[in-house]
Amino acid sequence: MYEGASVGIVDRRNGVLLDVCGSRLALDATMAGAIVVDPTPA
Amino acid sequence: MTRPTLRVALIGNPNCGKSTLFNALTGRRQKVANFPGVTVEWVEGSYVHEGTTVSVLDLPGTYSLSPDAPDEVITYDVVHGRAAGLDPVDVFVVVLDAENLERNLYLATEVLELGRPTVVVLNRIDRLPAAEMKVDVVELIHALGAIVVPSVATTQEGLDRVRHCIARAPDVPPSDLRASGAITDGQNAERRYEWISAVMARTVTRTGTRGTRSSDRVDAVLLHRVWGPLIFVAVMAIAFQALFLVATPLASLLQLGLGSLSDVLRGVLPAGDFQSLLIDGALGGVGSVIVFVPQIALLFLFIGALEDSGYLSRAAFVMDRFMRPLGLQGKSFIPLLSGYACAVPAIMATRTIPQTKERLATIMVVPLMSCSARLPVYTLLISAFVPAVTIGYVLTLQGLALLAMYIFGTVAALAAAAVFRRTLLRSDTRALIIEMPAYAKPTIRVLLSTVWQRVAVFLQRAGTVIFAISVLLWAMGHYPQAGTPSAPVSEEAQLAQSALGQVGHAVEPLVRPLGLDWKIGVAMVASFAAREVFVSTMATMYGVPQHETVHTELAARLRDARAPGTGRPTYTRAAAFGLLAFYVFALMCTSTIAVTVRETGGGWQGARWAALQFSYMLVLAWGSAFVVYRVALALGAG
Amino acid sequence: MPHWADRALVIALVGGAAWFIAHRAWQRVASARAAKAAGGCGHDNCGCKPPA
Repeated sequence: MYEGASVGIVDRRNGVLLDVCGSRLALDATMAGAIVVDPTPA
Repeated sequence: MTRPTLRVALIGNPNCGKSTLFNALTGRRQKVANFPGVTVEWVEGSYVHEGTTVSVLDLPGTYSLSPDAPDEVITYDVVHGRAAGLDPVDVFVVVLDAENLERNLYLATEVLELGRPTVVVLNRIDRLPAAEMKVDVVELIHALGAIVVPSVATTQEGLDRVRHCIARAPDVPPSDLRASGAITDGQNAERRYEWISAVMARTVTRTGTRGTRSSDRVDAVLLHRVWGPLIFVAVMAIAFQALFLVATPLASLLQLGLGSLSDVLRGVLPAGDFQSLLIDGALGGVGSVIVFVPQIALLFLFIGALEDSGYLSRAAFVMDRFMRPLGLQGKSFIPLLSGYACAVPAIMATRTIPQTKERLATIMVVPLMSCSARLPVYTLLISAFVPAVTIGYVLTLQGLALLAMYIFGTVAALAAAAVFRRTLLRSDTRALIIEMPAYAKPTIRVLLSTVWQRVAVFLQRAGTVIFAISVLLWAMGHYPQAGTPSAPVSEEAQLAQSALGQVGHAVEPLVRPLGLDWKIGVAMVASFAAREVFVSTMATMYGVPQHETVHTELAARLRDARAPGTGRPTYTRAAAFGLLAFYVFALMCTSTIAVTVRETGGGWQGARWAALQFSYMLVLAWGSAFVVYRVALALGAG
Repeated sequence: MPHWADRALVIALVGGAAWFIAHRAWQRVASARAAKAAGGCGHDNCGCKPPA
């Protein structure tokens, strides 16, 4: 459901704390490590 | 007489203030918490508005209308009119958390697309200044094409308007986002967020820089990989110590009251079997359970405060690292923690775990967490057999023994979970995503009503089931009568002769290897209905009268009990430790068994899980009691 | 209080308690059966889908 949402990284010292649509989502290290960033043409 | 004419369903993201709004609307108290997903079942209530009864359904929180976890399925079914045994809903009320508007709008657009009468409630507008946001409500109404009512559910602000709009909603043409061309492809999340971003740009003004909230600075410490767990352990330690400092004087006060009540009864009623039944049986049995109300209330108060402040989700995230090697995830941690209070709501709280096998494993081990009903047993045995020695300035040996009981239970639960996840319930552990709600000051009114609700359930049990069991136990302990009114026999001889005594003698071969006698056997058998009955049974069997010191007196009698003939103590310290171990591990609670059956699939399937749960815990209980007894004997605790 | 009255009160209270426990147990069984007969899965308020 977060597909297409804009995501900002708040803190990445302990797992990753994301800012998704204004709410905080915490991901554990395993999940954070599995994230692949795909560059898209602007 | 009015009858329900308007059916309303509250829909919203987890932790958007939906349940608070429900309580404010209907006046019915429902559990409200700050951990996403605590509303695990639906709750119904009603209010009367201008002569019409409005029946309100509070649905579990969901992020979207595509069901993922079991509790989201409930919402999905109701929204699509497929829920068994429920009338169709007339008006949907979508509750939005103003602070998390962007994400909340996702669900709102999905509901609005259904084309049914809908009222959108913009909740928590009081928090907008702190979040450095401004929302243009008029613009939002235009964008959504629906009624939008700003409100603050906790202070009841805007509630009249919410009631008014609900009443008018069926006459207002429903919003049709699809027809207005707002969202053309209902299933495309990307398009939906593009549309929502556009709406956000028009309606929301941010006054501060995004991404640096004050809660982020707090989280940097509380979620820290070293400080986080340490802070968590410190919080728990302080809480448990406070529990005993505050609860003990309150419990003594209750005992004082019960003592004078039985004195009054003794004065009013003529001596005889009936007097004994009322005072020793009923009042004694119920009273010995009621004195634990302060402890139970404080435990719920503490867990409730943690939930409402938002810390519990942080704790779940911090604990995830430790749960993972066991095959559980951070979300399993909340049910396990709730298990300290009572296994029944804890098992129901596992519905927030979407993975079936992780959920089953959590259910199977939750009853190993020492629940509040075990407290009476622990306290009795510890005060009887552990010396009241002070260590340092604040800690006592008895307090440490009690802490040890909780630790044993917790370790056993975690170990059992690891075993289940590696054998019967094997699967990959999924990664964790958990929402961190903004920190909030717990509302005292909401918190107290939650505590009262829990205490009321406990008191209701004490007044009905435990009362009936106490009366029956008294009868079983007094009949068949050994003596005659003219030639009475000793209390102990009467008990040995009675039905209860005979049951105890029958199970004695099973408890003898644990260093226990038939009297404890009786109490153990009786407490298979509910653990706290152990204390009342022992009180009945030892004929401890209801005075201000009932527990101290019963503890003293247990300690001083001598085996007939030999004059040696009936219960050695080693046997008492073994018995404590038994109570840490045994599943003796019919309510827990019932809820396990229900939550693991019901029918034969559920019954099989419940049977497995009951038997593995019984084997564990007896085995560890035996080991503890033997080891303690060898160490000289005879 | 005469002995028979004492006895009668005891029998009434004990009988009442026994009836209460039996009634409670029977209610549980009956409500589960009723839920099943109504087409549900037999659990209270569970998230199971009703049969299609």
